[in-house]
Amino acid sequence: MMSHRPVQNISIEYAFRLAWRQLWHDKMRFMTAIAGVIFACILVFMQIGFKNALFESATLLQRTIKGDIYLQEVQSEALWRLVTFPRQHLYRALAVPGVENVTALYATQAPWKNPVNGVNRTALILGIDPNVKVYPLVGLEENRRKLQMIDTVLFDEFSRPEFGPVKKMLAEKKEFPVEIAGQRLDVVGTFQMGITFSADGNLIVSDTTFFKLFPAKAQQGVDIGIIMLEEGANVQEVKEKLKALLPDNIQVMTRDDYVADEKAYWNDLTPIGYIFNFGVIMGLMVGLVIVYQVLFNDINNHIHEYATLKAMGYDNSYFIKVVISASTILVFAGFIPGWLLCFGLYELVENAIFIEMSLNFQKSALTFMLIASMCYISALLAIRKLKAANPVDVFQ
Amino acid sequence: MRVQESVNLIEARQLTYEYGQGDISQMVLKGVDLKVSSGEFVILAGPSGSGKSTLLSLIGALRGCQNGNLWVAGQDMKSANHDEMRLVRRQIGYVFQQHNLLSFLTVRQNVEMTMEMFSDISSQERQDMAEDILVRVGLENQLSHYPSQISVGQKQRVAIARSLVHQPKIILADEPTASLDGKTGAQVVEILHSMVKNLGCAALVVTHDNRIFDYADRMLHIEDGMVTS
Repeated sequence: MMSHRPVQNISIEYAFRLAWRQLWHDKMRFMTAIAGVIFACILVFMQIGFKNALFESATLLQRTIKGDIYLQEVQSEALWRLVTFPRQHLYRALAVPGVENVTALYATQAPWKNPVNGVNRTALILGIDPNVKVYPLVGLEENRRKLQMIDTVLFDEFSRPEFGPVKKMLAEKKEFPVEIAGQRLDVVGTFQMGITFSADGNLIVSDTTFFKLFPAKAQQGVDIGIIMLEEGANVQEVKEKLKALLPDNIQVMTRDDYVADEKAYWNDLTPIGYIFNFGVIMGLMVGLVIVYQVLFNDINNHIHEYATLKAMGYDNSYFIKVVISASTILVFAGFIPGWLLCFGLYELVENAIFIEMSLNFQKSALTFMLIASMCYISALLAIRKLKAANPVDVFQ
Repeated sequence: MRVQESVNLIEARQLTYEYGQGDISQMVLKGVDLKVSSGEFVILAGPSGSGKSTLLSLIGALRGCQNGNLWVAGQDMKSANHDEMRLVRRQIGYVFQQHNLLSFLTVRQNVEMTMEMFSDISSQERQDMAEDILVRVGLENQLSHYPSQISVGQKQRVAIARSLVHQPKIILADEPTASLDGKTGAQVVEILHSMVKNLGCAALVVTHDNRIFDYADRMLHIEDGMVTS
């Protein structure tokens, strides 16, 4: 008779191996569990992708403009739901030390008539001062002089195709007339910006053309005030001074504040943000139930064997390691194919909705953490069943 | 660990055990005295409800002692904590009515699992020891079979191999022939008996099966919570 040296804690390596053998032995159930994780993974990736695309597209202009501080009427909710404020408030900002220049941005939505089939589509029309260089949009600089002419318009190349083959027509004719808000304008060039959930297409006109198109706007004032600071000026200090100077109905925001404000509108004031978050939760719930069922059944179907092993000297912590190992296997076995599938799905969706969907590291890491949490919560729920493996029962 | 100076691997003195408390309590062991030494093959027989399973679970370090004294493999079970009880269990080989083999492991892997609880056995040694004992129980051709691919008698032989592969000090067997036909049951007990004798461990076998009584070095009877020779 020979005595062997017992270990206090049985290696995680053995627990991992047992978990793998258990999962691999019943391949159908293993595949079901992986399919559940892949499903959850795809759902989470797509919902996060949609939500991110919403935020990215909605804040595209705000992130593009090279202003330092922005003024907006407090009742303005988003770029497409602006309330104007008196123009003199924007010019008063020039009196604040550190402010170099100011400019006004006007924005509204109006129908664009497709030049080929005559069907109207709603476009976001931006009215800018063509002489101010705060809009580094591709194509704008080349067409700045053309835009200074009255009744001219620049068309966003990334607008939906329902707006007509504008780029192709421009290549053929150099400029051509279109109907916008019931008035005739000439399309003289294109720029690149990108569509949003609120606008299928974008147009840029000069502020003079904008007032001609929407005469009421000229009397009302400014939609967005853009303030450029002198080099080295402290943005926060100037912001505080402007807040003190301007009435309470004028919101003074840094660039980051402005982007956050637009995101907050879509996330908090529209049901869209909630819907995407709900989609993520639903995906995780479905995945959680599937993974829990697989892990629970693996324990339940071997409860007498586990009790026997406990009688032999295995402790509960070993079986906890087995269940955690099984969920770790499912995390990787489900996440990796789900992640790869989403590259294709993102491209598919991007081509369908014309809004950029990028599967970047941040989204991948967030989804991985959510999927891992889902699997480990399933494991923690299933682990409760291990208590039923009572070694005393094997002597009954 | 407090070691009792005795050659006895199992020793109980006036061991009692009761389930429940107060008016609904039931005394199942009423002062059991018992000794089993190394190399002994002892059969414990008794009717249902006589306290056999409770006695086995106490000796098997699966539940704590109440009154009386019990030493198992030198460990005073009355003062043993959770970890000490677990260490005692690793010195015991268990054979149950049901083989309880893991269906997703092969015959060899099931036997190897017993040795994963010991740090001084290498992976290669585990494989060799598992193969060696499985050859000794006549399963050399079933090493890579899954439990679903072998007969009930073969499964019980795997269970015996699993309980003996780490050369335990004590074997506790609870109705090891209950699920087997007469011929297979006799083969299984023959194997169990010869391996116990070879290893020199102490075996306490609970059974109703009078066909295996001849293998016993000593017969004990338990009735109404009392053990008699």
